[in-house]
Amino acid sequence: MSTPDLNSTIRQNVARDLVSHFEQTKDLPRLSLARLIEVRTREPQVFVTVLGETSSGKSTLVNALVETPILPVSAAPSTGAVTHLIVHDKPETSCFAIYSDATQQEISQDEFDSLCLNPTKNLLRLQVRIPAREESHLGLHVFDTPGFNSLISAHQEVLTRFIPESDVVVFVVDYRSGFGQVQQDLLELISSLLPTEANVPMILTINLAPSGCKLTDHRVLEIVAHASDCLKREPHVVLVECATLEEKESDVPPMPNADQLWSTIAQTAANPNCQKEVCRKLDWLLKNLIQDAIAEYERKEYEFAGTDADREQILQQLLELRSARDRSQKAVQQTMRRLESKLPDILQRGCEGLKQEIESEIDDANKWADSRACAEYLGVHKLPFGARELADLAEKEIATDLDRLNNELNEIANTAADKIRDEVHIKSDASERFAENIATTITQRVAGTGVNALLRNFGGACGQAAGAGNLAKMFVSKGGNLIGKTFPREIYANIGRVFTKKMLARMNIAAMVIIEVGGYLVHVHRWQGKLKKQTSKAANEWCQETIGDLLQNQIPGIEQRNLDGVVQIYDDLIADESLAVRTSQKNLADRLKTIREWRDILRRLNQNLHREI
Amino acid sequence: MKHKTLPDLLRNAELHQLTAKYLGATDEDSADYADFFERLAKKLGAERFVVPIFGLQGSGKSTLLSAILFKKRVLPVDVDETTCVPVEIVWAESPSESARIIFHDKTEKIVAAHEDELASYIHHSKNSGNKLGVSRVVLESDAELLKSGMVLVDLPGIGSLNKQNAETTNNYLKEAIGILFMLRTSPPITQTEALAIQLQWPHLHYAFFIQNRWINETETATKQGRDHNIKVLREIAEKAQVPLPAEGPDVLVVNAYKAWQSALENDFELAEKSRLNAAIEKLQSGAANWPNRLLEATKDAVGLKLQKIEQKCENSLADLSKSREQLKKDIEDESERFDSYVRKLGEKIEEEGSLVDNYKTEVRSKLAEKRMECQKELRNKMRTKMRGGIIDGPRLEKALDDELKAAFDEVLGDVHSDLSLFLKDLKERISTLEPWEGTTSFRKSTFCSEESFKYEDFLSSALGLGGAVIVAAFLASNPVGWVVGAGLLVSAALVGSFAGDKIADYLRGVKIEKQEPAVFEAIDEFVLNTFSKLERDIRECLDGIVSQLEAWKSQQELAFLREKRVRMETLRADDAEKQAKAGNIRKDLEQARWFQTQLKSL
Repeated sequence: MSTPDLNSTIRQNVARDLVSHFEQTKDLPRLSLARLIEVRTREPQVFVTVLGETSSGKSTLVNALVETPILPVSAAPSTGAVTHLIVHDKPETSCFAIYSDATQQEISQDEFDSLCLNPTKNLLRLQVRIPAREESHLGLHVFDTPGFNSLISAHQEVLTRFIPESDVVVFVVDYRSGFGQVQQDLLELISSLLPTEANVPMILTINLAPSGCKLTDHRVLEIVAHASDCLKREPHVVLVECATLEEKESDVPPMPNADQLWSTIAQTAANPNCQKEVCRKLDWLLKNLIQDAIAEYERKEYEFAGTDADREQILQQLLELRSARDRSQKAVQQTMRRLESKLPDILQRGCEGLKQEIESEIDDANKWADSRACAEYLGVHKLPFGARELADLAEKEIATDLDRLNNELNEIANTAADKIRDEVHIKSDASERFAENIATTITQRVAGTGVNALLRNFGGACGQAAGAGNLAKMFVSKGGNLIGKTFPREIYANIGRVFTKKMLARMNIAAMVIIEVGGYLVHVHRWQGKLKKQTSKAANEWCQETIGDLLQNQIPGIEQRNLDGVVQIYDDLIADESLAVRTSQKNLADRLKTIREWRDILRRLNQNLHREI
Repeated sequence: MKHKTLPDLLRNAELHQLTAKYLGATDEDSADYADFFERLAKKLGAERFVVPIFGLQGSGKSTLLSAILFKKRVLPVDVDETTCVPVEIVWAESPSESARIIFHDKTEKIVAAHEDELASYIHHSKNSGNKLGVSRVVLESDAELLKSGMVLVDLPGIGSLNKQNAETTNNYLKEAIGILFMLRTSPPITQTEALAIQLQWPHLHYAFFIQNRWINETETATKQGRDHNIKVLREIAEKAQVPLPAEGPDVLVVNAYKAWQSALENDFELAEKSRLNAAIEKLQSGAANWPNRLLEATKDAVGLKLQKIEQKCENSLADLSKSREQLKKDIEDESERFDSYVRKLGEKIEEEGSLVDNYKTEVRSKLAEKRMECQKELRNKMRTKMRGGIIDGPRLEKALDDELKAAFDEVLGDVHSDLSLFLKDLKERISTLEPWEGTTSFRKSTFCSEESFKYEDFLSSALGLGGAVIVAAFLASNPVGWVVGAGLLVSAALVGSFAGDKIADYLRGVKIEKQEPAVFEAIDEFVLNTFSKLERDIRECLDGIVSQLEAWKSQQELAFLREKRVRMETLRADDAEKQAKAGNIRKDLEQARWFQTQLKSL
């Protein structure tokens, strides 16, 4: 895959120089991000996530890509962990195990096979690096995910991490079992998790199709129509025919011909628009990384170059930031406590209302002939519909409060920036410039255009563990970590939708229990009472579970993200505080000289990059 | 001749002539002004203070009304039923035992004022889709509350409006001065209710909120529900820019059912428990205050106009004493100024027109996208239900109905918040438009536009001005209030545009194996109708705004031309004619001053 960008050499050079600069300055967080960018300027990477119901043949399709039975395939549901397959340009195949503590270890093929089938508890991911069979496959990163059944909540990581980070999503449907409720739930969920702005290509793969099957096949048309209703757009469709056993009683499962699938994926990813987007994001990242560092160097320069009085003033400015940070954190915590206290009330109240409606529905049903239909109606419509409305209500409540919080945080940051600008008492070049620098930095960060959030994401274990530095979508999916204008919306989109869907999934399980009971009801005089008890129990359980999830997972998650956002805006700036105090004495002249040199290097790089853009 | 009351003064033909002569755009305006002053006078004298009761079906509107107004079973109060026709209750010293049923074709029928009889005209189940063509029902009551002229109207529930009753309902809402919103304890305010409140609240001068406490709702639940409702109302007020007292909106809790029982059984203790009296007192104080406010606002408006006339007279007199050359020059300067004014105005309106056009395009494409999404989502939702075994007709209908309503609410909510944002910006932009003041260097500082806004807004809604340009031009120093106000009224009609009852027809008698296509067809039909109606309503609302602005502009042009003609006549007049003119103007001036003294003494 070649990058169709005329200026890529300049970009590569800038990225390389930036890496060596940060190596020299020992700026580790910036270095790791620069390295990541640098790799991507040289080697294009395409992240493909393969999803589908249990036993729809996902692993077989991945094996077909490399024409090697590298992933174990068995009749029983396999693939317990996400397997990461990298197609590289080296001749050897190697396997790795990546653990939850971000360590990794090279393992043998046998160990790999056994971990595939029985993943240990601390295993995060399995990785295979494998030679490319065709040049167009180079740079493909394929994530084979565990098969889904109706238990959506068990796949939280796959859903929230991989889907938003993918360049291409492959959804596998078994021709024979067709498109049912499980497929519908799953694909709707996937669709809601794909960032709409990024327009991620989705390839609907109809696997195990009979030989000679065409796109006009009745079944295929049905699957495509249904998938399109879930996706709310037309998917690319690829048919993969069922392979037949050649030798009698062979133990090796036959390899289907999936060339069309993989060439479609490669073509989709090599689409000039996709590539252009990646280049644009790389340039943006480089530019912001450089400018963020320049801003820091300049701040240091003003500190070193200024007088003691200047430094005293700078310290005051930083104290102002500290107080803004503290107030922001407090605002976040207050909002969360408010949500914690009112959400359970809202849900409980709504649940009582729902139970009453259900009871009167049961009372109105015909005692003699209606038991089954009534139970089904309640289980399939009334309960889940009511639950959805309640979950929506809770979500809206969260969204409203987050909107408000967002405004409050913006207000605090902007007021602090204004105050710092206004309160420069000593009209000296250094402190005035420092004030301007810091105010601008804050304003940029609040507007969601700062690079510092990315620095943090790549600095820690999180970046490594996710394994996907998918640039084209990085900003959309990471948007939730920045306190920008889109912050609450993003949180809402990512957390909220999963939340509702998850709750619905549980609701369906509850509903199934009821129907079963409904089906076996024989006593004409007792089914109504029994059904009331069952539905009421289901509604209560749902309500308690939802409240539990909100209090234990959702709100703490939102709180953490918001607190992280606050940290990302303020903390590295506040860290300069100690600098302002310490630097007053020694080596000022030397340090000033160094920092000016660094600043000039980066300014030059910035110019080069601008020439390129 | 001395005027005893404000309506007397308003009915004085000399006032109409004077206003038309100095403030009108054409010579024919006199009749319009007479009409306008008559409407104002009627409003002041009629003491008809319409307060509709608005709320979801089943929120207990009819029960509450019965408790307040009747001691016997007049209004049908069956909670499960849907009222599909507005019912108006007016005061009478000895109320009639019968009700007037007024039909769309203006014919009337008198029937006994009893719940059984009325149900067959009012209830959806008996008069399905209002096939009888009832426009409204009028009842009488001797309840003390109505004595001041308050007219209570039981409106069809939010969400049960259809083509037939939407217009009558909207007419009541336009006429309304205050509104009583009926809320429930559980569930608290829903999105549909919130939207309806948000749309109505800013246009009404009194909003009462009554929360119905159902017989099975505990004290704690009621309190929690009330707290929640207040919080939601605060948010709505913020969005709709309705000023609120610091303690928030007052939400009175009433147990409507207990109140109704106590009224039937004359049980004072029960009445006390229902807390109905607090609600009645609240309504009463609103009613008592109302005529006074209207009177003051009218006095302010007329006074301001009289001052303007005075100013114009003085200017004309000044013209008469000018030299020919001076006057000629003044007229030329003025023409130039006007040209530049009208050019700028034209540009501004054109700019608004193109912004509106862009927005219409945007809405169209957004709606097209939403429509597709909505269709697909509904299909999936119904697939799940059918797959899960809901196959019997009525239950499938109910499930489909629930989903369609929920989808409609969501779409409407999105579309409306988008439209409100656009209208808010538009309002801000056109708030800088000013009417042509001509030579009248009007003392703006004393009557800053903010002050006059209050009565302008107030009167235009009090009179239910739906786009009456002349009257609006008389009232308004700036077109903002009525232009955008009219727009919002149109969008308020959107709330009622869901007609779910038709959907059931699709599914009736459909065989099980044909169910999926029938359901999908119903979805397609619903989505198509709803979205094209939404688009049409928004387009009409926006086009209305632009054409109102244009009408306002030509109003300015006409007024200028008329003034110019008068000045040209002055220019051509000889001394004798000038003297005669001056005499007339002095008379007018005196009259204007006399009217002002009269106004002050009232």
